[in-house]
Amino acid sequence: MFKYVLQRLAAAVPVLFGVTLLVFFMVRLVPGDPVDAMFAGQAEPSPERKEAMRRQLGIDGPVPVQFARFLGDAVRGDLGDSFRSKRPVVEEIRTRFPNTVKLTLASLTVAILLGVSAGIVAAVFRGTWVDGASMLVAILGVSVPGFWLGLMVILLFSVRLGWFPVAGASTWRHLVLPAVTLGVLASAVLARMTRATMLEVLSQDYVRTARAKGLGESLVVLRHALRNALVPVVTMIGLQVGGLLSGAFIIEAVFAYPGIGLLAVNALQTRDFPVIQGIVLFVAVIYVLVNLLVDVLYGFLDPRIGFG
Amino acid sequence: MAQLTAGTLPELERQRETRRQRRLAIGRLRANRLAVAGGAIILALALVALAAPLLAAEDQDSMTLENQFLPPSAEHPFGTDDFGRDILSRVILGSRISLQVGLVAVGIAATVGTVIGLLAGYYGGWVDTISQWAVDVMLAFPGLLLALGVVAVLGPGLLNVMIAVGIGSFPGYARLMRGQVLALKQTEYVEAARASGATGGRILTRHILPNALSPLIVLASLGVAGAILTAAALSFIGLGAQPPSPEWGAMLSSGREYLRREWWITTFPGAAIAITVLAFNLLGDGLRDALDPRATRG
Repeated sequence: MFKYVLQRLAAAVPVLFGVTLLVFFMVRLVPGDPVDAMFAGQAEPSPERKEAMRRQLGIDGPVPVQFARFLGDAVRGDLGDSFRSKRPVVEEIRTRFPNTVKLTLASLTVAILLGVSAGIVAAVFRGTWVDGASMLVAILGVSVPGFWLGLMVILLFSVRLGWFPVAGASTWRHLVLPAVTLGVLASAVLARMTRATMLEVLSQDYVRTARAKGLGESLVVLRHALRNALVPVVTMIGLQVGGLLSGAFIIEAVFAYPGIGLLAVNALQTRDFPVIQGIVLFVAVIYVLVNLLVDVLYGFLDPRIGFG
Repeated sequence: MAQLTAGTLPELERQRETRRQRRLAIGRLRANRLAVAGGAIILALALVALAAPLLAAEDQDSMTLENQFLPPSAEHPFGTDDFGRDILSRVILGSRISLQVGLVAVGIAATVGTVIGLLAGYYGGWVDTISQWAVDVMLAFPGLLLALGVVAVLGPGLLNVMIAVGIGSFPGYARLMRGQVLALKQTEYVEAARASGATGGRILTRHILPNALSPLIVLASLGVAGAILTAAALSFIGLGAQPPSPEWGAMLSSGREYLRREWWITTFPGAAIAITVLAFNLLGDGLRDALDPRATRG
């Protein structure tokens, strides 16, 4: 077991190194000079100020030295200062990230409840109109743009019905609409996945045996089939966390919900490179760690995967 | 001579089998009503996009302020926007942009990904190690994060969005292609081609690529859906097409502030995106079921 976890950890190291390298080169690949690009179409700052900003971005000196400095700072949790707010990027992320975690977890809950149950129902009623309708809704769910669904939800539930606030994050009521929007979209993928694995499991011998023993259909489905169908679904849920994190970027912008997504979108619009760089690195690292966790969890759930 | 026969027999057999499979797949695709509907919508959209300048009621940039904020009516079926422009005309013109974005982005992703996957799978060794590492690294960026990063580097604009979405999605193609090559490398007809002295490039383009096309077509068809969605999202947050472009995401974005009363400005471009993406998803799903019958077993 311990060896398996260590192996997964060791495999993640080169990926994390590559992620850092890619993010490092991101800012350095900006055509021309990132500092000039930031001020495109605005009053030119003084050469001293530009030099100071270059130093702040860490784009002075030879590239290998720059990277060593970048990596060292990142490991110690220093991602530089925002050009706009002048605050450390790590601070900015720390104040905003809890909101994004709340949103992600709430929408994950919505997605699991909705997606997994829709998938089970569709599989059990395979070939009927129930199956057809749930799968049509599911494919609609992967086709509708999140920002549009968000706006329509605001139009209906905030503007017309006045049930929920339009924007912000001060109370739990602010969380409902963005979480439901994001969750409904993510549930579509889970529903399709759950249906597929359930169908597979339902055709297995041990399910036939359970039926032959005279067990009730609901017992067969819930006790025998679902438990085995859940293993790939758990992996899918793990992958969904990444989708939700990046989906949150757009949804947070629609609902003016102050998470790291909104922070990133604002930074992108003002070309605040330290913030963009910091958030991209941060989210990618989180995603790698979540996947690592899912891998380990998968090993626990599926005894067929040896830890040896 | 003996070598030549060894090279041609499995080849002929394979060609006959490929033709048979293709006929079966087309039959299965035709029987799938949802996939046919998706295909029909795409065809209609392509026709609309081609004829857009004729179909659009007026010049998209002509602004008449007395027509501002007209609700949907017989004259303006989708209403008019804050500049008095006919939204239906703009949605029609926008179809050109969205289809183009989808096709160009997927073109970039599929080409780059296929080349990398073919080389990595066929030659193995350090080529494979390095490219697999790069693909793993790029897949570590969830969803549109990579595209966001690329747009941050290149700056806003529609062309940059196409490039960003293309770069953001090529790892999937590379991984798929590599898997295909690894499987096909062991087949009899590739062995035969190699035995008869074909070069690596010839084996890859003549023998492996044509046989790996099915999953590539499925991925590309679903990829167009994803690309249109991501590009619209980037335009929505102001990083893609800039006003007054009739790009659907940009139209939606500019209608945001009028959501309270002039709901039609955001509703119709959004519906256009949803229908287009849905059509590509339906076709892609249908293609997958048709080309890989094992996926729908049960």
